[in-house]
Amino acid sequence: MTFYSHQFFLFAAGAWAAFWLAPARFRWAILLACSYWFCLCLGWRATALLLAVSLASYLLGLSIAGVRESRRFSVLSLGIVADVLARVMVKYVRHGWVAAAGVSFYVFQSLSYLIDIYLERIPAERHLGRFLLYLAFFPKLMQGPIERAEDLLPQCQAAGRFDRGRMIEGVQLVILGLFKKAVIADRLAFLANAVFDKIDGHGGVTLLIGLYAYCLQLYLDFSGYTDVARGVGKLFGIELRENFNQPFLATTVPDFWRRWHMSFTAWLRDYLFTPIMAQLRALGTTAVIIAAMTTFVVCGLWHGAGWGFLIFGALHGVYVSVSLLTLKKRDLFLSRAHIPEAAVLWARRVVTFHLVAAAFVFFRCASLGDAAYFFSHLWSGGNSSIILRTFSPIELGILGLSLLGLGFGRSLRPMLLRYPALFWAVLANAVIFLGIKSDAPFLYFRF
Amino acid sequence: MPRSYISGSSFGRARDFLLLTAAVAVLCGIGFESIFHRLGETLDYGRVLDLQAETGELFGQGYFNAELPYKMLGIRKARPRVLALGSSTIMQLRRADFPPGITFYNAALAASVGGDLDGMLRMLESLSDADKPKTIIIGLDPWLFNPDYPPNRNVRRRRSWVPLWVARFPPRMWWLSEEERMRVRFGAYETLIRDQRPWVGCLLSGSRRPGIGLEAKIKRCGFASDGSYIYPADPAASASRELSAEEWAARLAADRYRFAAGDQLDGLAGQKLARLLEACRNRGIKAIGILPPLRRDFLRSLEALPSHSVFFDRFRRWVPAVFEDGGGKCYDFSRPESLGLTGADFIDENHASSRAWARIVQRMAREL
Repeated sequence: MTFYSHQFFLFAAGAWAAFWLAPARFRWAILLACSYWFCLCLGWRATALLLAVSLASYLLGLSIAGVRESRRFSVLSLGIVADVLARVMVKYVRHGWVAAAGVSFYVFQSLSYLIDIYLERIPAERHLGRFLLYLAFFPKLMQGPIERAEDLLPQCQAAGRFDRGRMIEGVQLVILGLFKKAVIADRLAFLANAVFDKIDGHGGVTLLIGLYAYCLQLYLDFSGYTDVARGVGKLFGIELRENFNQPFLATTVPDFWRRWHMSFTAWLRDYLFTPIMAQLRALGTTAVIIAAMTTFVVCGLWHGAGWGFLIFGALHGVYVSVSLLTLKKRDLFLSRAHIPEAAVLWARRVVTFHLVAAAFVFFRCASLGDAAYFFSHLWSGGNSSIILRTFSPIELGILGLSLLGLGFGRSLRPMLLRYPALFWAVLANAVIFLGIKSDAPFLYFRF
Repeated sequence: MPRSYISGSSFGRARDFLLLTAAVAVLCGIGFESIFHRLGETLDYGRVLDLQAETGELFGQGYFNAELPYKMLGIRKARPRVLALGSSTIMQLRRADFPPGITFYNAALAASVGGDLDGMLRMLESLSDADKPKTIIIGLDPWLFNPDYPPNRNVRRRRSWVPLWVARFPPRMWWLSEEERMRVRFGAYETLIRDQRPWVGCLLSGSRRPGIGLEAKIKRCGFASDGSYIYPADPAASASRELSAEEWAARLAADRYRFAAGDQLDGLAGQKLARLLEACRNRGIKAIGILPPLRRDFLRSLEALPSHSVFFDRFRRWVPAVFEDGGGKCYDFSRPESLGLTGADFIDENHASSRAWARIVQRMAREL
């Protein structure tokens, strides 16, 4: 049951009606039942794993809060080992990909919950049902956002007050998310797949076009999912974190990570990068390098067990280290060179985008051989005819208009405010009539 | 949701949004449907058959596959004395091949539409006594008797867990058929948008361009008024090229569809054939079976490969025997030498051309 299926919409509509018709004190139970039903639709193994991780985290959370000071760290360590083991078992000892649905995301939530209790940032949750809901809330189950207990648990406890404005925002986010996914990302996938699924024989220009298409596809697919998740969350009175903030307009690689998969990056920053930096502060610049490399290698391996993901992470570790260590000098040089600010801004954006895109080559290619082919043939000619072979003229028009519309989203706001109903009606119909109907799973579903 | 929760302005905005969404959806739907109608894709089949009778134009859809209702209506309009049933292998059988005075209609369906022998039986049973033919010619393709042919596999799978009353429960069927209809429709909208064929040109030239449906307009291929199929003037060269034994071995090893490896015939298919012949006997219809010709290079490979030879040998011996036990006459034309056919008489490895089928009609003229 994917977000872009009529089964999901029937399910969500039923859940929504049951939720708001139920007495306020039982709404969490409705939401919990719906979340576990949703998970069951993904497979009983996925449900059993979610339940096991949830129960273990619940009991360990209570233990950390309840045991003597000297034993707290041991209990936390046990929790961390259990969570990491669950993640590693599913990821590296595969028994069918369905079993892995969402585990990467709720294990991180479980870890942050236990660490926050240990650091006495939050109290342990005593209500089992609400804790189960914190990990299982169905809109964010499969691909996040990775929520913090301090944000989501209070919302699970609150009865949920019907807010008209929030409902409207929710519906709008769902439409926008589906538009990004079905109309643009799934369409760009034809181009990206045409290049990367059989990379041999393509020239440099073609490879570059495929890479640009893939970068946009990945962003719109994942941010589309997040929009739908946040929109559905709002329909149940729950606010989920924003995950993207125009990442391809970032001016440095660290800036990119502040805008891309923000809930995951914030997790890595708070529970990995910052603690390592704090421990190794005495080492100076070496500490920055060690912290950045460790954080991004973990980031790469979080995506999967493969050399491509490892290189992706390591490459970003190098980017971030170099960026953090040279930023001041670069700023000083550019200010002395008297280059117009706008030119510097756009040059930084272009360079950052291409650095990120180069790392995505390892992310997308099926093997290191394919990645090597990509870089070795980048200057070998090629042409843009693949665009015309892949898309019909109507599709090119749809993509052009859609990308222009997204690019100039802020400029369109005055028009939106004048005719909002018409705008959203057109967007909803674009999803229905122009969306790709094939059941293409969201890209981050496999992580 | 209690109405009191919604203020006037919010309710107005939600109402405006819903009304506008519905209005835009209707406009989009009308737009797509108009395009399909103008291309001849969604014309009423009665109208299609009338147009074909008047002008002889071909009917070839590009976005839909409505062979079954089109052919059923075609049979009722033509009320032929001789009717052909089968798959695309028998679609080259034409009215012109028959002696004057014998009316003929080719009701063969693509294998993906007609499925199996039960599909032919259903077609026959749905004909009234007034519409029924005197003779039917049945194309007996090898895959109809292959236990690994997907429709044969699906029958076994469905029987194992879906009770019959569930499959026949009317509300469920209504829901599923509506859902399927919508899925096909929206799938066609998507195909139209993705289509790189020059349909816009066909749309503008409209009725001036011959043919009904996009395939007929662009490729000049489709069903003729006698139900037979006309291939494009320039069929793919790769299909007509004869292959070496090694090439066929590789292709057949990978085939999981019509020529999947195996040595047993499907017992259930034998029962279906017996039922079909019994229905013919009960209704006084003469049944003629034909094992369609196969191109020489392909046939040699089927007979030489250990993975396929046993099945193919059993098929050629067992099926005519079952057919004749059931009271029909069966011709084995699978060997091209039996008709004096060369590679030039084939469109591809298992589709003989209209020339070959004209010879087949001459051979069985006595039975007609």
